Amino acid sequence: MYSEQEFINAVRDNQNIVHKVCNLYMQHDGDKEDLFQEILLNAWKGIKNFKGEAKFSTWLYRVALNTAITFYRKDQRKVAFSELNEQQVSVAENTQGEEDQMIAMYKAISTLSNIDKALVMLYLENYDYLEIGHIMGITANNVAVKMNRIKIKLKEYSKKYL
Amino acid sequence: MELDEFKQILQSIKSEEHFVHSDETLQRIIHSKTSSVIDKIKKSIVFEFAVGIIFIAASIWTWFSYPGGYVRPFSMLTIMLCCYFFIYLFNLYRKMNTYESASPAVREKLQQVINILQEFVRVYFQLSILVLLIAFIFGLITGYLRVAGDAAIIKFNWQRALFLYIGWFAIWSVFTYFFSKWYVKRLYGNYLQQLKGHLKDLENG
Repeated sequence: MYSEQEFINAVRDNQNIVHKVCNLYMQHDGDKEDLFQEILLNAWKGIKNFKGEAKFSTWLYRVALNTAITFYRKDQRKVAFSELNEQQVSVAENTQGEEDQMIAMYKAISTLSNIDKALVMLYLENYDYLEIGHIMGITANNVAVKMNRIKIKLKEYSKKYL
Repeated sequence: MELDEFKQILQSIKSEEHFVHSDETLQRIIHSKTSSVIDKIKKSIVFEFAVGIIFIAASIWTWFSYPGGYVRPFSMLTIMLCCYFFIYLFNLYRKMNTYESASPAVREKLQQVINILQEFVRVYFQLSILVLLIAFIFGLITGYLRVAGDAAIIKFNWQRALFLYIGWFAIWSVFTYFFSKWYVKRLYGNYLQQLKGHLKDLENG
């Protein structure tokens, strides 16, 4: 059982996870803040049921993705590609060509469905198919099939944005 | 660029990402109010409880004010129907509290939210019909008592009055039905479709 301070410490150490999910699903700063708040509130409500059967970071991913995918907004704003947060790419000391390719990949990911975005995010975080399956509620085989399709889709889409 | 190549590059720059909210900010957030859809439905249920209490209070008042033979069974029926809905709403509210604190897999969570929304929409329609039914019987009884109790009204065309009353009520019922349907769809209809789409997306191998 986590006390309030223990929960805050755990979230502080893992808040990158929540920020990543917010950046993936929301484009406007206000929406990102709202989602961040909602994820934290849900995590706080659910912490009493967290028995430590998985790592805290994995559990937080699950809460964050659940919240992001079921997030309710009265005015569903459309995402404009030009508003995509490209600053994440510029921190790397990459060549111009590589940077362009990464920006194109970010844009391609932003066009995926909410479910595919979640799969890509977990894949990029190095979770194996079995773990991804546990978080998403599907089998590892299903994850593998979906990931293959997504990879083909992203390769095509990213070419379009170059 | 391939996704795996992208992953490799991302991992090499990962350590440079820093997002830090202070402990005070995190503490403030966990004590703030939620704006989730479950919370909105919970507020609606509390409102429906309040409406039910008003109906019960009105029925009790009617019970004591009109001791005539027709009114008391009607008051009793209203109270019983309200109690039935109280049990129904209470169970839905309790189910939502359980769902709210659970952190299941994404697929299960989607199914839970869809179930709650569908159940809420069903309760909303049933309540609308109940209110209509109660209003119909109430109007019928009070109208009858008013005419029957007025000695000045010697000749009254009951058939015509009943025909007009039922006609007017039919129009009102149709309006309420379509208004409720439009209102619920406007509130949650598109959202529900979106969630069903996500679930289908997840379940399709």
